[in-house]
Amino acid sequence: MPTLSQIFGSGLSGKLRSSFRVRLFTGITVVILIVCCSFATLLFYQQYQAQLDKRESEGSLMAKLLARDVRLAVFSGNRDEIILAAKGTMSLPEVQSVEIYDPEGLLIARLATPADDSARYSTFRELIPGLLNVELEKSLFVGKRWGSAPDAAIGSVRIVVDESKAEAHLHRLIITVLTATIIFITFGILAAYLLAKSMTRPIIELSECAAALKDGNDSVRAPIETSDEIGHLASSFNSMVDAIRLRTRDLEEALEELYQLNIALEDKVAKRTSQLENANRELESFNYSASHDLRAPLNRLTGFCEVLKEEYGDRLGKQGLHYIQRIASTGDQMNLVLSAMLTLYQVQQREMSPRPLDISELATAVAASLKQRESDRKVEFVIEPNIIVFADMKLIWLALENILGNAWKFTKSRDDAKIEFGRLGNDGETVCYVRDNGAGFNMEYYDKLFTPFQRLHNFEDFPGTGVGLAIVQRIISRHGGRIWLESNEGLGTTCYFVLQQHERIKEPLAEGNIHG
Amino acid sequence: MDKFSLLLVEDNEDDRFLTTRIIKKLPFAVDLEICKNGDDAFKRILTNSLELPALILLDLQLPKMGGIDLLAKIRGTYTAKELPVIILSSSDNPGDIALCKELGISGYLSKPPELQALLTHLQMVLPLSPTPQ
Repeated sequence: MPTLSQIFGSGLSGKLRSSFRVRLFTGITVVILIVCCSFATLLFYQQYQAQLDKRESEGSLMAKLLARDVRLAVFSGNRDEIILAAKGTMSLPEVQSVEIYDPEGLLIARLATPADDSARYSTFRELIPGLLNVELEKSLFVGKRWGSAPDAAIGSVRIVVDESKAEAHLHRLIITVLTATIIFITFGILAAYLLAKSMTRPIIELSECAAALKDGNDSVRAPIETSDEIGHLASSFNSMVDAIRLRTRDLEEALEELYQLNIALEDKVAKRTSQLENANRELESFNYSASHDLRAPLNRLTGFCEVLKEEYGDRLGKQGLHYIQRIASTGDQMNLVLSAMLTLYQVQQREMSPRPLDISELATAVAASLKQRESDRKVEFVIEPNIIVFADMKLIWLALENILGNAWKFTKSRDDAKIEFGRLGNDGETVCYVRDNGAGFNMEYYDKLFTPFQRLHNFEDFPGTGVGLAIVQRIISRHGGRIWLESNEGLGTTCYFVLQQHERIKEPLAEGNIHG
Repeated sequence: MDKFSLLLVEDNEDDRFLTTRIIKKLPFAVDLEICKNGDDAFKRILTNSLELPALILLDLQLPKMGGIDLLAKIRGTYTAKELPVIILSSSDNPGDIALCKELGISGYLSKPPELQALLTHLQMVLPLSPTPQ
């Protein structure tokens, strides 16, 4: 059995079809059915009633006429006349029998056709009036038969009418009404179907267009077949599609433009970045090869100082030997600088292998090695134990060597030298610090602090290469951390540094970011 | 007294002078041969394979064939592949050092070498009699 939706079509908008079209069709059909049935019922009832009334009135009229016809004959007792009148009535095809009675109820005359058992019969009775026009007829038959009651009935008639003919008529009526109703309903349903179809077709087409639009086809056009509301809807839809296409094109153009701009920008950034990287790499490799290439002649220089001292020392005199010593120590100083430059380079290039480590232990070891180097100095180290950081051991060792080395160096003129290493709790990150009560520096020159070869003190007072803090800063920045210093001239310096959590530690950077 | 033949491969005149001077201070007799570049040194090793030096002192930065290339070639020969080599270099590039160690060296000294450091390294390689002189 095909379902309704199969009959009415399926597909993309099958649901809509089945729901809307079927609902419309069903609605119209139900209305037609109700109207037709009630109309037919009403018609039939009305016809039936009319038939009934007609039969009733015809029957009683027949009885009344017969009663009148036989009045005089009954009155005069003329039997032939009575039979004649009865025969007249019997000539009507639907009459089955005619009976005439006297006032006492005794049968005077009876005419009948054979009764049919299956037929239905109606019986009509009528009294035969004694006087019709009392004054006139009294004068004619004064005192004849009915003394005190002249207008009393002088008998009665009884007519039995066969209903089958009338029923046949009624049957015909029923058949006619039913046929008419069925024909009407059939045409009505057909019309309803066509109407529903023609009404829903543009809507379905429109909804298919909308679905196509949703799927990205912005060249759809809804057909405009009528000038009614649906036609208006279709034309509105079309202009909406046009607007969407226009807007989409604008948007796509804007996007394309943005994309091009983006690409251009990325190109520019990439170019700049690679330029910067190249420049940095060149700088780094220059730094590296300079420190390398300078070392060989420097070694020769100090080598020849040695040769000179050994072979001509006795002829140079004390002053001459002193000068040679000055040349040699200048060479040594230069060697230190070259080493520091190399370290700076290597800090940047080193493959980091960070792991959790006890920086307190490292600090203790560095302090011990400082004490060993200058065992005549008396410096109090206060080191907070168990500070764990996530870092590359060798780099952090180097950083601590420089930071603690600075503290050591700048407290040399104090007898109560004290160097503290500890930690501050600060918003969940670990801030380590190294505090000394040494010479300190003028915060005015803070900017120069991390620049390689920038020194804030005289070499004679505090010898050094001027690269130490630059190395420290690179190490800290490679760990994704920060470093800063606070100092009071004559009172001491505190160096703070934060190391990043391990997941954010940076890979080796191409750019040699020396200044934080 | 022992006498050892050493081959010094060094292009720089000053370095040759300084290194030679140090070698002369060694507490044993040395027969010093000198090559000024890697190609000459390799030719020397190939042509006189019966009289190979006891040890080579090799500079890394040489014109034409570099020190590492020469070392690799020496290790590739049949006769001299096990010849002890001590590197003399002013560079302490970890990459170079690693490469040399891979090829097989008996020491890596900065140039010009200090007498004591050189002696220590030579003692480890050469069959020297204990505390001569």
